[in-house]
Amino acid sequence: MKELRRKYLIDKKFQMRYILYPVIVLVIATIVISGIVYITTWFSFIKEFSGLKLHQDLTTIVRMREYEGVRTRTVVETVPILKEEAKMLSKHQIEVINRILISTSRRIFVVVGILIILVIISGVFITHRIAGPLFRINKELDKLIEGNLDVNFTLRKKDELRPLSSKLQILFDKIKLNRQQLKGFVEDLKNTNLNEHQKKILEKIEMTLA
Amino acid sequence: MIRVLLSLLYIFVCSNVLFSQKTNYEKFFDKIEKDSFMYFWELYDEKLGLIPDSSRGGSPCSIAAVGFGLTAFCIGVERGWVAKNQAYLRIYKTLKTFFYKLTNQNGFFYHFLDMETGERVWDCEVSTIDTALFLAGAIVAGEYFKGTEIENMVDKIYDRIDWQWALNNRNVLCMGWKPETGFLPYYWDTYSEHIILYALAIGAKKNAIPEECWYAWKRRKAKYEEYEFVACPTGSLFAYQYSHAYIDFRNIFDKYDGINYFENSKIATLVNKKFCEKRKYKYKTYAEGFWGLTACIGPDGYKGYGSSPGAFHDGTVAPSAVAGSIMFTPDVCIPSLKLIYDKIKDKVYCKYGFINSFNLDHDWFADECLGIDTGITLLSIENYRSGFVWKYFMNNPKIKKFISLCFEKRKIKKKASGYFCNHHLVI
Repeated sequence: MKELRRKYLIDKKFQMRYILYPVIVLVIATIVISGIVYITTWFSFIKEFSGLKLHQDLTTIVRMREYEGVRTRTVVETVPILKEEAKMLSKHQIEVINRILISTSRRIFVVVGILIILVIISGVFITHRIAGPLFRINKELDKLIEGNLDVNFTLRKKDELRPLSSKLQILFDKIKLNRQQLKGFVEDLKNTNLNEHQKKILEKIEMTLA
Repeated sequence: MIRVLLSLLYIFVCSNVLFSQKTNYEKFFDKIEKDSFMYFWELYDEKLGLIPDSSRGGSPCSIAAVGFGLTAFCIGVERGWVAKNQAYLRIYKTLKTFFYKLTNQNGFFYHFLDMETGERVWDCEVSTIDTALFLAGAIVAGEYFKGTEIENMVDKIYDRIDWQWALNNRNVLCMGWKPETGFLPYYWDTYSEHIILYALAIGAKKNAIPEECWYAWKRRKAKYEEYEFVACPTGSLFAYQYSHAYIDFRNIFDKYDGINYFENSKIATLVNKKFCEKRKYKYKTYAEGFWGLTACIGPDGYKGYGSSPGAFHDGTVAPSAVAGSIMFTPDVCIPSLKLIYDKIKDKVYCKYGFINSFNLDHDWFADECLGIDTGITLLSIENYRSGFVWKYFMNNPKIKKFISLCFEKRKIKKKASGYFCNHHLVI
């Protein structure tokens, strides 16, 4: 019969530790990757959209049109190569690019925030499958320490540590059976002619098995 | 006796003057040639072996500049500026890039390429003339490194070109093609720098165009005072120089109408000079004795400056226009070039030789050198001094085929004042 556990945070400390590890790794990885992407992209943009580069590109474009005009003897409207305007355009483009990068980074952090929540929720479910059985085994072992051999190590189907708990169950079932057999042997011995010394030893064994 | 002594003294003085002038010019040429060579050597990009169109930052590669560069490397070896093996490796890398890596359309290449990737830039055209200018330079390298892998690679690039395709079902070659729009609506149908293109297309081993195409373009005759010559529409000097840097037109005459294009370029140069001289009262640049109208950068951008009636000029001159004609009219061009150098070298001379252009009327000086103009300066001076480029280019069998099909050989009757005397200037 399926045993239901309604409480998912069985061992808060244990479970939180194992949830926090992946979350921290995720946060660090996100910060590092975002940083690298941001910085490299930023510097590439700065290089590609610098005033000098824009001026060079404008010069090249204009020059090529002029070359073609000279060769084909067609009228090409003279386009002044605007150095100052290229600088202003560059500044504007870099600002635009910066805005795009910042909004992209924000979106990345929102997505990462959602990911962290998902990691925590799934972490609770995943760690629950380990924490649950450990809690159960711990509880049954406490019963054993108190002398109660009526322990039940049976775990849920999807729980981790199921092979271990099955073996523990077999082990303690055997111990329980052996104890009962020993008790039977003690009862049989009581009905025989024993000297005083033997009776005392038998009483001690009976007390131990009690 | 006295007359004999006086004659001997006169000869002694004259020969001394000539010797000192020659020595001066030799040094001058050495400097210009080496500095111009450095444009190609220093700006050569090791990654793909490409050479930029201009010395300004961010310039794309121009395949015509690469052609001039390949020839420049051979001149550099010959002059002892670089090791032969170094030049060989550089040229081989460039040719491998052109054959294996660059996008081509029927063997023709895009005019401008990204220096880093070799990709087409800014939607430029597949250019027939620039492919030809590249190939001409490569042919010189192939002949100079004859029997090596360079020669094989040049042949492969040459043989891959489908010259007939560039006719676009006409009898004159098209200027270019774009993948977006197809053939450009412009054709090489009148005298200009295109002779090298027709030479390579007619002389080709594979996919050659018919000989008749040579006769299909117009030879427009122009008159300027006492001069009569076949003129290009703008009168820009580069049109009379680029093909001539490779093809030795001395002593060969067009079968079409007996024109000698070497003499024709001489006249064009003299006309160009005279055109500027006549306007010296209006333009400060010309007043200083400077001339040289060609397509170059000006205060308002790149323009086809020229001396044809109606052509544009505003006092902008290019030292390369003068230097590029040294191979035709050294007695006129060398003093003119020296004048520019002596008067304003601080403003017009940089580490790669002469800047592209200047205009004293606008107190404007270009802040860059262009590969093709630096190239024509170097090749023209070298041809004048040693005939190096002509010798190797004309040795190619495909060029010989073109010459035999379209030209007649006969000796030019030299004028008494002759331009050449063992390839050195006689003043």
